[in-house]
Amino acid sequence: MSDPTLLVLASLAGGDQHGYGIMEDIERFAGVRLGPGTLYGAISRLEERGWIRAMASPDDRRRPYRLRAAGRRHLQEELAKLGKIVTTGLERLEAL
Amino acid sequence: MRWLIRLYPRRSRERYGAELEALLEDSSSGWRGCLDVAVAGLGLRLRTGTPMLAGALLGLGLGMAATYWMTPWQVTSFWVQESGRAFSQVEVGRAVARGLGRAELAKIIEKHRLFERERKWQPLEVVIAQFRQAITVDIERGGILVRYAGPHRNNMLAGDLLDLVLKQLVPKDRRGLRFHMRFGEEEAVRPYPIVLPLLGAMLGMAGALTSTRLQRKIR
Repeated sequence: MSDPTLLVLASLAGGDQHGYGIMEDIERFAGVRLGPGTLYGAISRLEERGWIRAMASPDDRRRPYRLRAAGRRHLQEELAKLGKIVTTGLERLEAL
Repeated sequence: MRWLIRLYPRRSRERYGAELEALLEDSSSGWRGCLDVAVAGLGLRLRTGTPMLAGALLGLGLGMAATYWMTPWQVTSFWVQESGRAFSQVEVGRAVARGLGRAELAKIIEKHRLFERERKWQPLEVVIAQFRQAITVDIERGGILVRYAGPHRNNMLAGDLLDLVLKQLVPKDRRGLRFHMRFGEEEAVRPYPIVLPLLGAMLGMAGALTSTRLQRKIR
């Protein structure tokens, strides 16, 4: 799983976070270090699709993001698909 | 870092510029982070804003990076040895032919670990020929001047080459010869030929134009 948008959604499923927090969180749970440009590319796409939204913050340079209901649904669907792939792959590996 | 953010189209810059800048400061991502931001900004311009300019800039950047990677530093190391005896051009020419043969150059390459990257994918003969081309031996005020112009900052290398030539010139009796030596470096340059960056810019513009036309057709 290396699609940055999916990684950002998975990170925000754990709670609101700003850019740096998301970057660190993704590195912790997925072992992938997203570059700042890649991260904000993903954030802008997710915001355009209405899957996440920026929260008000006293610091305009570090605004936290929140997962929206549509984003949660999309993440669930994608993870279900991934789950199927993982299960099938593991079953086939065991049968080898 | 602000100039990097300028690579983004205005709308994205106004919306995410400050956050991106803060993230660059917080994460201290170094050159990888800067490259990531530059590629993402230009990519966004390609898709939304000014594709021709973005294509040209992207191509120019890639061309420059390729040139930088492909063209190593060129340092000229030299070593002059004045021996108190004037050697003739013919004598020196013979000494070079005998002293800097294939086997001797191969030993020097091995000793100074030269051309390690090239040796992985080129036969040793080609590497030796390259090495030989980088060496010039001349007469200077009755002394021998050895110059090595290549990517290796290494004066001892020029000294070793000179030694091989001198062994041929004065093989046995060095008595009565007053050796005086000096060594140094000249012109440390990393040349930037313009061809690759220009070609990259042209290809980038052509790519951007094609992609815009394709997008229009699909719509």
